[in-house]
Amino acid sequence: MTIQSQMTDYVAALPVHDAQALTGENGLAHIRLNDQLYTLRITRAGKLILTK
Amino acid sequence: MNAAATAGAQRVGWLGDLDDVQRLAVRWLRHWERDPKQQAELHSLLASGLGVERARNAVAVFGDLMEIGGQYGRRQLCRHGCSCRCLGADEAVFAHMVSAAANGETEDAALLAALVVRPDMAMCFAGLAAEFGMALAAASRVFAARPRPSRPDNQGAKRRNPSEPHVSLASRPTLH
Repeated sequence: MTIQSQMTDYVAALPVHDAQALTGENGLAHIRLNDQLYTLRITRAGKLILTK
Repeated sequence: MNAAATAGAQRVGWLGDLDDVQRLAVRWLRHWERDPKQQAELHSLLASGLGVERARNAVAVFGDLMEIGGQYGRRQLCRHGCSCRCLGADEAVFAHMVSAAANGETEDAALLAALVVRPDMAMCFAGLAAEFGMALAAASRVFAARPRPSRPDNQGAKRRNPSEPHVSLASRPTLH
């Protein structure tokens, strides 16, 4: 197995999350990492922005 | 209003000093959520150059720029009046950031963006500016390629250089 195919398998096994399901109708959600809250935002142009 | 709040409104030049993309960027900034009629006209103008779908996307990207700028900006951007021929300091930074980003000068665009928004949002802001600036540049190229209607009453008159200010030198107020 080549390194490239190992990487492909690894990437394929990553969990997939639907951003719209995470944010709901208003396109905003908080994601917690340890004691920090991050804001996940779907913009008008359909981009995804994660900010502290 | 204190000096810090109006510092971004300081006149640093003239709209006529800017290139087409920069001038359009300033017009969008000035009209955004201030003059719905003019904003609709700018949207129509963009659609006439880019097509409806690309124009709609460009408007959405500009909306993102304004939203990110409003949320993560160091302070509110100062805008001159919609018909003002002066160029304000904030408007100049915005215009140069958009054109730098559209020209692929990513680091310069990010540095200029960091004057507007907090540093960790600068790359994001510059990225949106690049997308919007490229749309403006594409529309400008379409407009430039279109034949201009002839004006029989002005055939002999010297054509004005588009990079020149829209006011004559004699009528300009002195810059201090």
